[in-house]
Amino acid sequence: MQRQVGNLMILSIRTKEAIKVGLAMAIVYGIALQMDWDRPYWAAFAVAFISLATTGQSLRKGFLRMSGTLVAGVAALTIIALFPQERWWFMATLSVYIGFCTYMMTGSKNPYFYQVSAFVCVIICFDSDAQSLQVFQTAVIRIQETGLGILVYSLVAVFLWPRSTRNELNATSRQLFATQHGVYRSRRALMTSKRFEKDARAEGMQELLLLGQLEQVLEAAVVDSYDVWEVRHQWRRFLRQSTALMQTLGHWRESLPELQSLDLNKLLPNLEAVCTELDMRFAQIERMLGGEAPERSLLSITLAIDKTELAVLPHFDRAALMVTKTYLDHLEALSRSLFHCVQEIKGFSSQPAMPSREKAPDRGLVIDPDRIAAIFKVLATLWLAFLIWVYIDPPGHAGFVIMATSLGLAMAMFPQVRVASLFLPAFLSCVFAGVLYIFVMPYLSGYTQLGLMIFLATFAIAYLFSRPQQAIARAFGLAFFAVITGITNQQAYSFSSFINTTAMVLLVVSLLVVTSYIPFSPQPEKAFLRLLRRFFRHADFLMSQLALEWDQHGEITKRWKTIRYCNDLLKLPEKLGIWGAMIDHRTCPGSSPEQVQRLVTNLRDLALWTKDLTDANECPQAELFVRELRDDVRAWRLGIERLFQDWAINPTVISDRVLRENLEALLAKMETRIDETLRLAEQSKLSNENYENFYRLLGGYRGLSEAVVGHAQLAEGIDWKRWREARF
Amino acid sequence: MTIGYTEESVLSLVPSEFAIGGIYFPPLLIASMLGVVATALTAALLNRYRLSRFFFYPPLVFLALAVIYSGLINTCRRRTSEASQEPTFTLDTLTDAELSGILLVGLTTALFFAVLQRVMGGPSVQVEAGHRVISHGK
Repeated sequence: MQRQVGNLMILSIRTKEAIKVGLAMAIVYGIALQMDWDRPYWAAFAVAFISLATTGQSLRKGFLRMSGTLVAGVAALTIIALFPQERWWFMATLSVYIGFCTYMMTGSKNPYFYQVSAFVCVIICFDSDAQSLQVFQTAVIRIQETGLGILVYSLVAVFLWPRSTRNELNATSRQLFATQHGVYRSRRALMTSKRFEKDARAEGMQELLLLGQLEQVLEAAVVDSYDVWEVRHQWRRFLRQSTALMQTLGHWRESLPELQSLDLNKLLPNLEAVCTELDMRFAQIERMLGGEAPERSLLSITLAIDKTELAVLPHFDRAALMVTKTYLDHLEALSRSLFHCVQEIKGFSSQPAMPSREKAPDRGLVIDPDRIAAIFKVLATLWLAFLIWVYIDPPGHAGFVIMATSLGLAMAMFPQVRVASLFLPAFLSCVFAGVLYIFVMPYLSGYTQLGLMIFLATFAIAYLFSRPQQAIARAFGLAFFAVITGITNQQAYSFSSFINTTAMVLLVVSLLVVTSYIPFSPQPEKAFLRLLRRFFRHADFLMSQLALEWDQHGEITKRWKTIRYCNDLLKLPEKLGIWGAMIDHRTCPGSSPEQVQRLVTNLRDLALWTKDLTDANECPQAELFVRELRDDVRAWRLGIERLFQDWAINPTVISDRVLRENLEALLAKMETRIDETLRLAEQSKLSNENYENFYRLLGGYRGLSEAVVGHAQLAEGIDWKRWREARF
Repeated sequence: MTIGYTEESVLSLVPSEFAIGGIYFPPLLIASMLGVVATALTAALLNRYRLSRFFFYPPLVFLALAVIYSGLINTCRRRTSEASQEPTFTLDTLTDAELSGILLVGLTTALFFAVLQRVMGGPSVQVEAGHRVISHGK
């Protein structure tokens, strides 16, 4: 009997989390009704949206929501104070503020803070119909109710079955490093076995996902675990170095096909020893992340090159070898640094962990066109909703503008989500809340019964929609429960109010469907094609900047544009991968998900080679090389540029066979020319740095040529015509 | 006094509410909901048989179709029988005004998209790049 009772007491995490949400919701309503505060559902909103899987995540989100609400309160009061009587100036200023918040919200730093700052400002501005007498009151109530919700849920989360993020952080870091170790091993096997076919597996995507997860979990763990907070700088360094490791492993893979014809054991005599040492280091790091002390310390080892063997190689092969050596040297340095970093984090270092305040690398000014597009989308929603309110007065009145903007902001963060898919969860959530409102609530008396109903309804929603994939259903369920029931001390029941709210919700979703087409189509294949065009436009511009004789310090605007395009080019394959995964291959037949994935992987290689070439081009080159090779490099560059211009319009503009022949002819011509130039160089006594920079550049030309041929081959297998076809 | 219309014909132009379970709904709400559903079905069929490629910008076509369908469905109105005072559904023949309105919307939409199709080159935009294959290949 006791065992049975004991078993009943062992609740699943899902049940515990649902109980916490239900309890917090019942408590906030109880307090708000007891204090006779207006709009208790705002406190319920705070509980609904900050309740996350672990205490740290909830506390962090609560903090961001509270600070966002405070900033929004100040912004709303300022805007209304500045333009109390000028409708259009008021809207213009509000649009600037919302546009700024939208841009920041779609970035990577504290997006939730900016989202809250934007939609709470709209709530305060429109909820009181912009009447200055009521605006201050609304702002204060909003801040008060949000604070109450956050406080109550934080206390419940801290005292009732607290779940620290520390374990999740350890598990995610272990998983990430195990994946990276696996990637290293597969790359090493590829290099030694010389089977260089392009793999379709999305290892890179897995690494990317885990890195994103680690970043989120780390910030939450810093909040709820003191031992993580103590070594937070080391953890952040670990995150940055893991990102660098992912990039270096990616570069290494893209350089491997060039080594196919080379005898690596002769050229790099200690290659096996270096690779084994790297493998051992990764294994030790994995071991430390698992909580065990390292079995051995690091060995100092440097990859050596046999210069006599190197001298007999053709120049492009020499360049390929130099590029591979550079990446292996990077891996050596990174693995060493990661080893020490994890040693410090896990307390296995003989020296005490010193707070290291290493700054993240500055990537320059990044203006993301997709974030600008998000601004247009949100502002179109705000203005259309505003004009509909003013000239048509839809159900919900000013609430229509508030809900449209709030949902519009949320959807701008996830442009891949199909807006029409919101109809069903929104409608069902309204029906669920409506049933409680019409058939249950009129029969309740006293807070005991009402509190029980609130607890049970909230528990049911949180329990049924507990998986991360059900986040939209959960959010809608909890939010519309609070809106439609409209619980207050002077409760009134009105069927028309329920129908009006439901109609408002459905009209808002309809409006969002319309604005989702602003400024670009949200259909995945169209978005993929749009990004592909942008990819080649940017690549074309970057190629045009690769002229050997180009003065890099000349034009500031061009330099700025180069940095901007380069950053965007590196980000585009990731976005293409996300959109590519969303394509419905039944409506767009003639391609498979694997083909699209392979294409995206190849595009990533293309982007990395372009970036490498851009970097290599910035290194000083010997006057002799520039003078002698200028014409050949120019011919190659113009050919690639023309190809990128054509690919921006039509991805199957040239067959891979023709392209390979053309490029091989160009490279062969360049090879002969290099021979002659190097003979001249021997007389000129050039420095080692000159040679290194030159081979780096050559490696880039060869690698980019291979990636270009790879793209032509993959693009031929996809039925682009079907992708371009207009459809509903 | 009548100004060109009989009292009966004026009343027949005023849509009456839909009553579901004793609750009155505006007829335009029901008509537009059904119009959107009918348009969604039409759009699905057009996609299925690859006919949507003949439209220049399907989202606008969707909107136009929804307006046309809603207009058509709105003519299916509820009338209160004078004799029994019971609500009954009758499918009216189209009035002149409604017929002209619907035809005008439909024709304007069709003309608009036909012109756009002609001006912009429609779905064959991508074919234009085809000639570059030859020049580039050489």
